Amino acid sequence: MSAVTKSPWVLHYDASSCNGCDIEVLAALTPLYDLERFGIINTGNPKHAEVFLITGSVNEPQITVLRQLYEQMLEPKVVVACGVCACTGGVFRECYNTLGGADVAIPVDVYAPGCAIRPEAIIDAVVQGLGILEEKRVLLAAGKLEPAEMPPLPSAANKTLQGRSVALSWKDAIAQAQESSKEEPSEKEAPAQEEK
Amino acid sequence: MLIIASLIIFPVVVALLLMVIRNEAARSALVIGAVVILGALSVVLTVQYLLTPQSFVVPEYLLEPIHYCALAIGLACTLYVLVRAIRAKKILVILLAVGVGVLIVVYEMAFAHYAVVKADLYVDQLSIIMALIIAFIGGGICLYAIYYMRDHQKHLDHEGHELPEENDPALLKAARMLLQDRRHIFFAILFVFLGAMFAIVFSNRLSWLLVGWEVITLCSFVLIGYTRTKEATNNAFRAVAINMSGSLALAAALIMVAMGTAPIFELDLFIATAANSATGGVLALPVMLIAFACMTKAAQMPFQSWLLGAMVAPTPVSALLHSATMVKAGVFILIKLSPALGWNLPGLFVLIIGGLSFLGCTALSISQSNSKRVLAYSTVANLGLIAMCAGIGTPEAAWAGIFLLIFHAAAKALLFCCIGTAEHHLGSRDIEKLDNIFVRMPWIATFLAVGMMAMFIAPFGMLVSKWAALVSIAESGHMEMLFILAFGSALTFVVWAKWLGKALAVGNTSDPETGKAGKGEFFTLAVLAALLVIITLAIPLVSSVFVVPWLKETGVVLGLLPWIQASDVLGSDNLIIMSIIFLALLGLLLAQLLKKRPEQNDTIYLAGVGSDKDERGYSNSFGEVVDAGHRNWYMDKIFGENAMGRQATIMIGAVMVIFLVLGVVLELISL
Amino acid sequence: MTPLSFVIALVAFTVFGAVFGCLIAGVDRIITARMQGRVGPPLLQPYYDVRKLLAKENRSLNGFMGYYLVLSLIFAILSGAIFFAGGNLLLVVFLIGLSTLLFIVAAYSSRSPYAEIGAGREIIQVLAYEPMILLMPVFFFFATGSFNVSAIFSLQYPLIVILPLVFAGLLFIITIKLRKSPFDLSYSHHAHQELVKGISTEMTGRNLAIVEITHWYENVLFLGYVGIFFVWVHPVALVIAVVVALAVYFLEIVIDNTFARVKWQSMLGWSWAVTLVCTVSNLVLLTVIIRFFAGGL
Repeated sequence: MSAVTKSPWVLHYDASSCNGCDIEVLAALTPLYDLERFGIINTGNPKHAEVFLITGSVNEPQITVLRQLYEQMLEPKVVVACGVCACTGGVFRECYNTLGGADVAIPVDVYAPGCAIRPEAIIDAVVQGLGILEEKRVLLAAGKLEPAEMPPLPSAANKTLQGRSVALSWKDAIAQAQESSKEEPSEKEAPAQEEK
Repeated sequence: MLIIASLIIFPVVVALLLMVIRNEAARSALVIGAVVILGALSVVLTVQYLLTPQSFVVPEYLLEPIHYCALAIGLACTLYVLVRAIRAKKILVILLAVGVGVLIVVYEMAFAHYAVVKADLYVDQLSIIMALIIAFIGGGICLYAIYYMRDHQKHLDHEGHELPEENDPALLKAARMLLQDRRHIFFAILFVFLGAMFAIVFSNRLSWLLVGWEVITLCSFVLIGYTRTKEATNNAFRAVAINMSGSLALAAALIMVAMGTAPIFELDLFIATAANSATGGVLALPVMLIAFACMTKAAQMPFQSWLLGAMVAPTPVSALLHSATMVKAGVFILIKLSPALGWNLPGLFVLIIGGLSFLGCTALSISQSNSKRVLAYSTVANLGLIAMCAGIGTPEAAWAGIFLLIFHAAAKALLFCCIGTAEHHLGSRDIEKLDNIFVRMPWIATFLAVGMMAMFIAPFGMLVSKWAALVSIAESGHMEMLFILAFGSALTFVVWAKWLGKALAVGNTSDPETGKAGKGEFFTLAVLAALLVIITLAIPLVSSVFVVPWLKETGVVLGLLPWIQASDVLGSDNLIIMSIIFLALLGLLLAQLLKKRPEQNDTIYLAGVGSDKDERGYSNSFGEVVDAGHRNWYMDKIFGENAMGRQATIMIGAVMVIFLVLGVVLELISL
Repeated sequence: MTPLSFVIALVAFTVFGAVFGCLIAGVDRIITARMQGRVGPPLLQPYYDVRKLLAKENRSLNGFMGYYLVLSLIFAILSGAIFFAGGNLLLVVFLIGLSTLLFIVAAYSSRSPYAEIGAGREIIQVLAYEPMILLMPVFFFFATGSFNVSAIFSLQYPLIVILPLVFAGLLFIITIKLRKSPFDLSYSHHAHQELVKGISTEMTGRNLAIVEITHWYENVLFLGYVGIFFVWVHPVALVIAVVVALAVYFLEIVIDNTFARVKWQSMLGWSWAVTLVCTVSNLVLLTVIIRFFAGGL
């Protein structure tokens, strides 16, 4: 075991969680589970962290945020999707503003399902991530570590994702709403003028 | 003696020539030549008199003309100020000018004219140090002024072209007057200033000292008011009012000692008498009055306002006033007086006012974001420290004071000139707006950083001096000053550390070196920085060749045992350790500067919403990019001018009045 | 301090300073965990952390930050070496000040708002503790007649006897220097703070490792400050000094775990008040002692 697996520092990001999984992540840090036994510290700073814990489903504005945080983490690093929402979008999957799980934004290494996820599952997932972390460290030391492939961005031209039409941002949503509201009165006004 | 005379007279001759020459190229050549000659003269002076300090008697046949000349110069200075004051209707200045004029005439005609003295001029290690400072640092600033004033005038000419024609003719005339090219006067006054400083440094006759004192008051008056704006004129009058009150005190002190049973007309005799009278009591009031005059010159609280007001002048003036001339004349005399100070009324007076000025102005400078005001407050603070060292009156403290004087002169000259250049090219002197200067003007920022580090951190000179001050205070048992120094040093750290951090912040702009300093400007800045580095490295040498011999010499002349036994305060081993550390730091810094820098491949943390367009911008909830800039800590509510400035000034003013009243009362009792 | 003793101290402090600093940090984390009812990390956890940080990807915001931090480390080691070689106490204080300044400048060089606020807080911390740190050597001088640390070995009684209040003042501000709550404004080792990671926010990988190591050396040096109050000519003195220094560190851990972070105004006000009260009253005490026990205790 190398040092990196003995001291994985954690960054926790709450996407659109119902907070159930967040509470469980914090529960894992309590004395009962005592994550620091494994050298785990919750840093709150991507620049210091190796393990990226994500809870909740992902919507459009969060994509850039998740990507930036991910990019600011130094290699070697792993991403753990905590809870079913972070894995797939969960019960919110079909929601108009939900794009899906964490993997629509960044490459995910470990999927840990559960609603809400149990602290034991989080610990298991992080420990599983340590294996990947160690692999990446070896590759990095050999100079062979390639940056993980990023999932395709939902582009403005292609306003669909996984076969569904989505509003890319609230701006788009407002613009669409405004367009449709403009069209409606003009349709009503036109016949009125004809009556005159 | 010829060298001393030429050091005083040569700058004046150059000044006269400069008044006549209006051609810019010729003027630059003359200034450069004159500065080089002054430097050479001061080096010759050093070589000739370093080992054998001497005093000189001016030949009999020259005395009479010099007397009249001096009287005429002194009177002319006061008259000029008087006329300007009458025109501007400044009652206080009129009264002061009349008072000073009368006292000068009385002193010169009734006393000094018939005085027979043993030595008219002298030169010793301390005056050589001062002469080198004036010649090299003052000269460096004059060189810098050539380039600075060229830009300054270009700016004015530019404004002149844009003057609207349809304006009211009276206004237009006033505007034209402001924009007029008066650089010949500017440079002439700079050189007169240097000449007068040499006169103050070398003259042993008190009457000549008084005239030199008047001349530098006049020079500062003209230079502060140089731009002729309303603000400049007002500040110039404030400066002259404060300095003339000092002159009044000086003249009064001179008349007092001349009226005594054993009249004194020489500075060294005066110091010897004061130092050897059992309690300093015989000359207590004159010493206090002279100290008062020095404090007005050195802008000690409550008189700091004139030096802060002097910031309206072009930057070389600030640099000159703060580093090589003017304020240094005040502390120079205080250091000379230091054997007469100590555990007596004048000693405590100097000590306490100096100490409080150090503490007060350091605290005030924390709240300033205008870089020149920070520098000004820090000047007052450091002069306060020097005054404090002089007031302690031990040779160790004098050692510290002399080094503070040297390093303060070198560092402040560099800092002011850097700020002047930065202001010309980046358009602001506000520390917050000079943000990212390290990328925009890398070398200027580097010089600035060197100057700043020289002001407060090991292993640079000011800290070494402060260290010595701490040791000498501990040894002399002035506990109150111990606390002032400890708390003041902590405040100093805040002032400089936060600015240094800002100056060295590495941003990421697409257009590096937005402002490129001219070659001449860059060269003079590099020379000033190199001077600072060299004297820092040479501390052990300066100490053993200049300062310690001066202390011993003073001890022998005055018959003071502790002074005769003076040695390096810090021990030469500590000084050498400091020099080695400094050398190492310097080498590492240079190595780093010359190394090729790695590409930036990381961005700063902005909670994941950083925008890649602007390096410190983030996207807000409306999708707009906002700058996440951070303003430094100024703590206005604690250290601001409104929070503590006035109270501190009034308090220190009250302390000063109490001391002076005590001095007068004691004098009356002794009569 | 002879050149030879300095070189020996330099080598010894470079090696053992890091080892002790690392062990102290490990023990600190275990004790803290136990106080919170946890098991805590292994003893060598700080060492693993630094090893991990050193192995991380090399990225930089600018080329200067790492450089300033290396210099900061060098000066921390240098001042520690001078201290343990028995050199001039004021020199030690000034060099560790230079080390702190370089750390601050490194944070400023990132131009990150979080790091800048952290650096600003670090400056306020210096403002809070510097008066006491500067006064301590002067009182040391009053008590021993020398600024050299080595002077304590010829004392007939430990400094604590005549400088108890200075020691108390030092204890108060050493909380700031050890980066312990309630005065850990610029950054601390605890998870999640209001300023991300304060002054060290932008320091990554190797740079952060250097910060950690510098902190180890600093901690040993500051515990040395505590220790000198308990050394005198007696042979067991050194053991007592070490025990007291460790006890003081334990006290700091207790304080760390029982207080929340305070605002800078409180920190500044309290530190200055404590400094003034302690030093002035100790000065009075010292005068009394000199007056009445002129022949020595």
